[in-house]
This record gives sequence, C-alpha cells and structure tokens, in this order.
Amino acid sequence: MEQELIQTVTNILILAAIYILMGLGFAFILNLLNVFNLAHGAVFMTAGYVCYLFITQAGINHWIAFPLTVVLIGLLGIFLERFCFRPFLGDFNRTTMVCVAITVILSTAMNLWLGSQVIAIPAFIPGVVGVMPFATQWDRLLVFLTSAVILILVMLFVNLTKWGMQMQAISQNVEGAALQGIHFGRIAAVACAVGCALAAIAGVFAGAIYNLSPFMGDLTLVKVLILVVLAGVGSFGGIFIMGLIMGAVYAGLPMLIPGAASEAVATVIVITILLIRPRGFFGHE
Amino acid sequence: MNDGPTGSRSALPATNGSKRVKVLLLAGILALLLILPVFSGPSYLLHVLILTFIYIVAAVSFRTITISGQFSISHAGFMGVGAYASGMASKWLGWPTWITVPLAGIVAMFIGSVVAYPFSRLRAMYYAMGSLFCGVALIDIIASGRSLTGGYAGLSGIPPLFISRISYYYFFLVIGLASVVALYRFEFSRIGVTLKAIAQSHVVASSVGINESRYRVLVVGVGCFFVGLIGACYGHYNRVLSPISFSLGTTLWIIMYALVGGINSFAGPIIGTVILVLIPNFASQLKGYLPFVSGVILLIIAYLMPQGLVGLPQAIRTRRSRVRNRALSTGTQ
Repeated sequence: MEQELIQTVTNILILAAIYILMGLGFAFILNLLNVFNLAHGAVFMTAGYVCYLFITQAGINHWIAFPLTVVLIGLLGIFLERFCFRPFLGDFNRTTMVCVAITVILSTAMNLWLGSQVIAIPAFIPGVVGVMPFATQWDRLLVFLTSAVILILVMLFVNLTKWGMQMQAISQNVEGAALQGIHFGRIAAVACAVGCALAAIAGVFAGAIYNLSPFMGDLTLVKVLILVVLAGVGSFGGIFIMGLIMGAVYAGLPMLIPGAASEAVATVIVITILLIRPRGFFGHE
Repeated sequence: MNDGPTGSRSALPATNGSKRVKVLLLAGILALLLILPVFSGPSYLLHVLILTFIYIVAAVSFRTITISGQFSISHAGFMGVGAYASGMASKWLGWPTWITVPLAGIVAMFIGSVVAYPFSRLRAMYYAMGSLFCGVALIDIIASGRSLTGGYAGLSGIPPLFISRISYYYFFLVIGLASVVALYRFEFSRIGVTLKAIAQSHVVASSVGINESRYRVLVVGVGCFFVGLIGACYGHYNRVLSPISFSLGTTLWIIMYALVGGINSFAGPIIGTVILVLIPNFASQLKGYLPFVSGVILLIIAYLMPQGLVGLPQAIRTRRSRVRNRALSTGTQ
C-alpha cells in the first residue's frame, strides 16, 4: 500500500515535470510568435532519440550527452524560428502545414531508422534510492530534482534577465516593445531556442524513464495543448499549477478508473473546464 | 469559382471559354472514372480511388465548417462516430445497412450539433483547441467502450455492403459525388452566404439580425452529417474499425488535404486530397518512405503557394500579365 502510494506520487511528479517543461516551452513560442507549434511533440521525440544515439552509438558519457542534446535542439529551435515560423507569421494555416510536415518527416525518419526496436535511454544512475517502503529509482529522483532546478532557472531568466524582460514586453505588446528598441527577431529566436531546449530536456527525461517511440510526441502534444489552453494563453505561472493538476489527473486517474476510460474522463473534464472558463484559469485577453 | 475581385480582372474573352473548359474537364474526369473499372478490374487502383473519394468527402465537409470562420480540429472524430454507429448497429442489433448508414450520418450530426452548441461561444484559437479536445475525447470514449466497441483492439466483423470491389467503387463514386454536390449547393445557398458574413465579422452579422450561434451549430451539423455518412460507408467497406484510424493525426491530415488544395475555394480540398492520397499511393515501391513524399509536398505548398494549389493558375496569370504589361509599357515608350 505504502509502496503503491509512493509510486503514484512519484509518477504524478514526474509526469507533471515533463508536462510543465513541455508546456513552458510551448508557451514561450506561443506568447512571443503567436505560433501554435504543432511540431513541439516532434522536437520532444527527436531529443529523446538524439540523446539515445549519443549515448549508445557515439559512446558519449551521459552527463555530456544530455547538455549536448539540449544545445543541439536549441539550435534546431533557432532554425525553426528563422525558416519555419518567421516567413509565415500570423498565418495560422501555413504554420500548421509546416509544423505537420516537420512532424511527419521527423517521426518517419525515426520510425524507419529505429522504430522497430523497443529502446530507452540507459539509466543515468542505475539503482534504487531510499529504504524499501519509501524507495524510488535514482533516475526518477534525478529527473525531479533537475526539472525543479531548470524550472527555477527559467523563471529567473524570464523575470530577471534583460532578454527575459524583453520577452515579456513583446508578449504584452509587440509594437510597443519595438518602439522601445527591442529587436523582435532576436528575442523570437531566443524564445524558440529556449522553448525547444525545454522540450528537449523533457524528451530526454521521458526517454530515460519511459520508452522511446517515434510517436510519443503526438500523445504528449495533445496533453501539452490541454495544459497551455487550460492555464491560459499568456500565463507562465498558471502552467506550473495546471501542470501539477494534469500530472495528478493523468497519473492518478488510472488508479481509480481502469484503462482507456480514464483518458476519456480526463478529456471530458478538460472540455467542461474550457467551456466554463474559455480563457483558461490564469489567462487574460 | 473562387475568383475574387482580382480574378475577374482578366476580362479577356477567356472567361466564358475557361468556364466551358472547366465543365468539359469535369465531364471528362467523370466519364473516365465511370468507365475505369471496365479496364482496371478490381485492382489496387480501385481501392486507392475509393479511399480518395472517402477523404474528398471528409475534406470538403471540413471546409464547409470553416466557411463559418472557425477552424474545427475534430473532423476524424466525427467520422469515427459515424463509422462506429453504423458498424455497431448493424453488427450488434442486426439492422440492415441501408438504414444504419444514413442513421450514422444523423447520429454524427446530432452529436456534432450537441457539442457545437456550447462551443458556439468560443472563437478562433479557443474554438480550434476546444474542438481538438472534443475529437480526442470522442476517440477516448470510443476506445473505452470495451466489448461494445472493441476498445483499442478494434471492431471487426462489420457486415459488408457489397461483395465485389467494383460495386463498392460505384457506390462510393455516387455517394461522394452526391455529397460534394450537396455541399456545393449548401455553400452557395443563402445559408452559405450568411455563414460567410459571420466569418467576416460576427459583430456586424449579429447587428443585422443573424443568429450567429444558430448558424454555427447548423454548419457543424451539416459537416458532421456528411463526414459521419462517409465514415459509416468506410466502416462497411473496411469491415474492421480501430479508434486509432480516427485519431488527431487523421484529423490533421484531413485539414492538410484542404490546405494543400487551397482552403479558400471549393475545389481546393478535392484537388488537395487527390494530390496527397492518390499520388503517394502510386509510388508504392517507396513503402516506408511515403510520408516523406507527403511532408515534402506540404513544405513545397506552404513555401511556394500561399493560396494552395488552386491559387497556382492565378499566381501564374498575375505574373504573366505583369511581365506582359512591363513589355507593353517599354514597347510604347
């Protein structure tokens, strides 16, 4: 019983951490560029695979491969901003097309290359921590602590650094920010890089704790969309609270309601909330 | 038919002639499709064409919803509702298929309208997201149906409509054509014009006495009816249904068909579906690499043709006339 409880709580926290990392990354891109980045799931999936390849194929140490992946995917974010989002700013249809194309190309490539195998990123620290009823794997603890540190760093970045404050200015008022001499293109690139890097961190964690699959991004993307919309577009703080709630719902509900029904119940709850509060919990116009 | 104010600019004698060319072209394609099974027999080609007809109806009915100005990302979900409604009614209740197929359309229309009613107060991005979750929820509900729907394992043993593939082909040709014509008539009816007015400005539309939410519910109902109908036919053709084939990915592909062809014209979704369903299926030696073809097509369209494929002749014509004008102006000087 205690064991089960501890398991559920760690599952909730880990899932919440992955959702919050993804959701923050998504929100960065959404707030700055007004782009619904449907390729976010593909970026997340690619990061998991890239890290896996670094560790198993290239034989790089875990602790170097992880930051390397994050930096690489951050560069991918800059590339995406420059060549996939900026040409179509304000054009929802064409952005959607490009995002779907990127998703299709990335997931097909991974599927052809490694899709047939069941693989996961090898454990960062093998073994179990704690005394038996209150035990969990080292990796889970690590994921939780790293996410906490990264999230604090991101919040500091947004609230204290020059780039972060410029970002907030742009998400409040693009023209006003431009009049104050804020370089929109540069800040947008930074936001995309940070957003994709956060997705990459989440992807590596998901790959280390669950299995890698070429289509893992699609399922996570839906959850992230739910998270961002429920939290309210334009709200960073809301993402933390809603991420925890969603982690609890999606990791906790299967304990109460078996199988596929729990997903259905969770999604119906989400729709009801959206209908009651169309701007999300913490959003504003 | 999509000629906006800029399109009618080319008031050359071509306009009348190009309409005749269009009609002739359509008649030719139709005649070709009618006599095709005589030459091909019940081959793989017919299967691909049947799939094309199915997705043409899905994409066109999706576009019909978008003329109200809202982007609905739940279309495959309603296709699934239709398919499962007809499949379950004919399998478990033993009802004859000629009742269950139209009934499936009505069930999809009913569920679509019931869901659309509360959603009609959401707009733009929030409507898109709400409908996305709605599609996800529909599939989750279908998947959680255990023995009734077969869950993720799928519903098998659905009674067929016909024995031979050729009869199926003609059936889908007729259903597809009828649906497309009906949706065309709908779009250019008074209701369609009203919907376009709502899309342009819901404030102005409301101020002249248009009941916005009623029309938006109506158009979702119409779109869901046709997609439910074609979904039911698909179920009886495929005879095995799985919730995964109606998931978000399928919805996005239906939207891609419409966008590749050009979402601003009626012919757009039809052309887009033909490009994205028919052409990749002929390159069958590519097998696993097929999605790359679709992805590259999407990228090409997104970067080079903002209006979709339908806008291509227009873009070429504009460019050519610009070149001609320049030549003329330099010639006179």
